[in-house]
Amino acid sequence: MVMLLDLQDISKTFGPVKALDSVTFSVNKGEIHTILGENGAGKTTLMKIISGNIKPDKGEIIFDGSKINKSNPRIMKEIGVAIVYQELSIFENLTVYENIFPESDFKNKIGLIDKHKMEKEAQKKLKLFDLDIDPEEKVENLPLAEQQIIEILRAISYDPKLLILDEPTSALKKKEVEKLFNIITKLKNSGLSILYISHHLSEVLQISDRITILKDGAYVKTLQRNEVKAEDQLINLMVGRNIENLYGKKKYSLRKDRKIFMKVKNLGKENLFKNINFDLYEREILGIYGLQGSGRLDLMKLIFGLDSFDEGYIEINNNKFKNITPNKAIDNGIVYLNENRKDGGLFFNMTACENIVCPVLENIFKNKLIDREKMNNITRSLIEKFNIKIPDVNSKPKQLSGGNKQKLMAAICFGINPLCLIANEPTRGIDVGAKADIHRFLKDIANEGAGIILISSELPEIISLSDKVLVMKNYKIAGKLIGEQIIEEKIVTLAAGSKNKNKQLE
Amino acid sequence: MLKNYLKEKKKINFNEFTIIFITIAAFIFLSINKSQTFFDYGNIYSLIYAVSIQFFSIVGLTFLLIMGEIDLSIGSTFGLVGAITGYCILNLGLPVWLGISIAMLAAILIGLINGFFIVKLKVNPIIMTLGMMILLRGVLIAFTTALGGATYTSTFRAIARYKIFNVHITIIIMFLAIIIIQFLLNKHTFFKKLYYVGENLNSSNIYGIKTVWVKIIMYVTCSFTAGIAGILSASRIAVTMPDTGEGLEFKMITAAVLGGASIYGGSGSVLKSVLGLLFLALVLNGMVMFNINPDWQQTVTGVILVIAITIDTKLNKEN
Repeated sequence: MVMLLDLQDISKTFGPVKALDSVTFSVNKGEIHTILGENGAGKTTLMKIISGNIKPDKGEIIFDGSKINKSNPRIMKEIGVAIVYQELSIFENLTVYENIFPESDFKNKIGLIDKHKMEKEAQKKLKLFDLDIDPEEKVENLPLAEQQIIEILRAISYDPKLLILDEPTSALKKKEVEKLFNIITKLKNSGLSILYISHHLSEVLQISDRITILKDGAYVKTLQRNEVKAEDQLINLMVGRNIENLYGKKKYSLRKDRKIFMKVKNLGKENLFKNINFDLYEREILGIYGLQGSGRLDLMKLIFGLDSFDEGYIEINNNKFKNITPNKAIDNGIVYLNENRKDGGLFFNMTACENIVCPVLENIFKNKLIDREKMNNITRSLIEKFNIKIPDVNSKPKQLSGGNKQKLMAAICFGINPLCLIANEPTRGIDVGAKADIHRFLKDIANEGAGIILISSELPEIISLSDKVLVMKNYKIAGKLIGEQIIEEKIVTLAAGSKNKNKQLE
Repeated sequence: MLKNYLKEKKKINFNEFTIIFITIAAFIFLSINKSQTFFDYGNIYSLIYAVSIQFFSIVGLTFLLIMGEIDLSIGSTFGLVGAITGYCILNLGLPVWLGISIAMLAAILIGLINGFFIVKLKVNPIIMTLGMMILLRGVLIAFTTALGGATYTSTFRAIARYKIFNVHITIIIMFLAIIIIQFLLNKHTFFKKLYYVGENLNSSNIYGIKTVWVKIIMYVTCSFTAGIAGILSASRIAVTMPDTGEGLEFKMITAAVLGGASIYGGSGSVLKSVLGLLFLALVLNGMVMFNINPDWQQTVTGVILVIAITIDTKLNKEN
């Protein structure tokens, strides 16, 4: 094997944070090499160093046999590094061929762009990968997976030697992932090296030749694909410990004595929803899954009163509500754990105890005057319960890590003794340890009697935690799965909208 | 650990008490350099008395600033409320208490209109209250034309002149009001909500604060307190001119921001806003002491406003 990229002792610090600490690894020609690590492991920083966006503090980069002394995105691109970021950067209202060759020199005699030639070239490229896409189609009319592929085609239009793919499958359906993997494999067979970043373990195992694991900015290990026997092996290396029950399938047990906590009846909103019906029981976790744009978030906003509905009603503990506001929802024991920690979740510049008491001010301070001692005590007990690493009760959330911020948010919600918790992406962007804490918290309050609505784009999370799953598609409930039916294939089939519909149960 | 703690503590203290230091510094500077004219009971008393007349108009404004809102119409409200009171008493022959009541109702109405447009119809607060400032100024001019520069009756004039133990009642009320309002701001659950709203509106909504109502109530409060100041000022000056209260809003914003209120919301205190006001009064008073042409007063206030807002932006917006 011939080495294409060789990184020696790469270090980078941002202020007090050591993002990368003497990372050494290499990519061979014609291999798919995956970088694996939890959020904050240093993957992004490493990518940015390779693509020339960030300069390392220390270390050597050797590319294709020569040492890189000066780097910026332009230089790296010229010597053959192409990168496709997680967020698509295509021009939606331009055509496919214009997107594939955004800076090309297809010029005719008088210096104008030769569209005809461009189109032909694009057609050739598309044929090469057996893609049935019209080069004249506007990109915005294509499905997400094809947009992603166009993005990759653009990246390889400069004939790079190394292609970096940053979480390319995060917005894709399973079938589309297969399609993408076909293309990646073809690229590899043509001699291109691919640096693949992901935390979807099953995908990583499917596609990689070698896997390098980073943890907290440090290099852990590089494994050959055939050395990996099970996903757990990788998880252990990523976190350095076994995370109990993280992706373990839970046993479904329907308790007989449960009551319905919330009934959503014929809920509708003009041009968005029509006839949405579902029940939330006490002591259950109701997972809501849907692809981006399926309406899962908009539905939750209606139920919590962040947006208004104009048809149907919500029945909470036998009280009918034709309209609802967050204030009313909280009075009835419903609380919303938002996905956005910075805006709509925490008060970054206020103290932890001020954050904790916000939704319960009037309940705990009956005479309307704030009792500092009481506030501190409540905060202290919640900090302990949620295992939040925080200097003291007057520290501000902006100083905390993502995981601790998320736990603080959970603590705020828990502080109102919720009867129902709407948890919107409760573990987005946090480390595995904090994730396990949040999962335990969700299970605990469900066991204590609350009903939980869990919205998540992570299938393993939905599958391992939910008693019931509603799958949404095109602002409709595409299907409901209970207990043993909750398996990946069924959920994805419903979400992606295949024709043989699952029967509605219960 | 301890060192870090002290460092942190020191930093906070500096930000929190800056206004106290600079006010004291200005006071000492003037006392030393102009001990004859400045450091004189009469001068200092009249300075505090003047602050106590305008004091109320900074209360509601500080509440709004804490929430990240603003009201530029307080100067016009201040003038108009005085004029309406005078008009009711002089031109309509109504008793003083009724004139004041009608004028205060007008202030409440102004606040309701501001609040409704800004909160319900989502009009930009600066533009909305700027429009209101111009509109009310127009109404005020109409009233002052009707009044024709007449001096208000002695019963009305007596209000701002009323004394207890040889101290003007407005000064006593100011001190009591500062203590009570500051206590409420620190302790009361309703006033705590102003800080939540100013720090993050979406988070406040999600945790059940009725942000719409809190904001409307505070717009009304702001016009109301500007109205109280307007009545006290009309009673003291005894006449309302077309330009009464002009520029008051910027003076008050300057004072509040000097006192640590952020135009980006989330911080502010009535006590410190008043200290800011006192500091401004000291600066303007000092300019008189040093025989600087009063034409420059506006320029100096403007410079201080720009400096204060710049510091505010550095401290509060970038984190």
